[in-house]
Amino acid sequence: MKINPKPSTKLILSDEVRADLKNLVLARIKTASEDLGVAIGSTELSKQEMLEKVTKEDKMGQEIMNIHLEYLRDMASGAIYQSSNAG
Amino acid sequence: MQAKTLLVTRPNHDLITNYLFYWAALVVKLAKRKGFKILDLSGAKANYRVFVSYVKKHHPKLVFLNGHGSADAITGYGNEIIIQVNLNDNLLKGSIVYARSCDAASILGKTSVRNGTAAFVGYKKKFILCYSPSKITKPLSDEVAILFLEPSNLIPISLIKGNIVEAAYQKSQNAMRSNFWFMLSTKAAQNQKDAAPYLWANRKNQVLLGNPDAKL
Repeated sequence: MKINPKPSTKLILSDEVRADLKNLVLARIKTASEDLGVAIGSTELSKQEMLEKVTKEDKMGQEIMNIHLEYLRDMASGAIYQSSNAG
Repeated sequence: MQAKTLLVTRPNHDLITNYLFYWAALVVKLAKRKGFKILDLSGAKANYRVFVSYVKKHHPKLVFLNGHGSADAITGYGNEIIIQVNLNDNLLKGSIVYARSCDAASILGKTSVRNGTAAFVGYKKKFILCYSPSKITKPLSDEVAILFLEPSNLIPISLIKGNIVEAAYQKSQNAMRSNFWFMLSTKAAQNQKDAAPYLWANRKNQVLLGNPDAKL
């Protein structure tokens, strides 16, 4: 009989969601203009460098992901539209 | 009547500080027109020794810091620390401070206010600047950077014009919001649209600490 280890559903979901979110952020950066530089603090990043950082998920890559995900979350929740004097 | 004093630090040792250098010059120009006494610590003059000496001697009412930073420090030219928690964060007693640098509002801003700074406007996370790589030799004509730096300049500009800190903060927040909606519109260029999440982050991370009714 085949053994099914039944790993934690939460863990699998979390990894899947994490991978999906990472791909979403990578897709957003890939479609961005080549004529855009982003300086996050003292770190200047080109589009290619941002892609590399997010792919590697280093500290700066995680920071970029958080910026995009927070933005998307605020869009989805309507927080952007509720900001003071929105409209 | 004694002229109000503006002290501004604006190093220019890398790309980002160079943008801040040029944009801070617009504030200096306005303050001069309004009769302020200007202590302009530009370029290499934005260092610890000169900063401390000028603050002690002139007690500037408005301190506008441009440079890289961390939660507990702000730097000047060559990333030399000019103000730091537990070193000299008690220096700015009675001043209104605008720190256009990363993270400083998270700790330094708080300790500074606890030590007597009237109000501190800054960023509790990274200050982000998007720019057009094709415009880096002309920071004032960069159509992406303008969306970030014009609202940011509104803090000192509003204060110089006599507004209270809360009003200056709201003007800056509203200008970022207005630019943000422009960036989402069909009128924006592609690189301006793509910069929208970063401006949104700046807006969320810009905070006002201390007395909101403080004014120059």
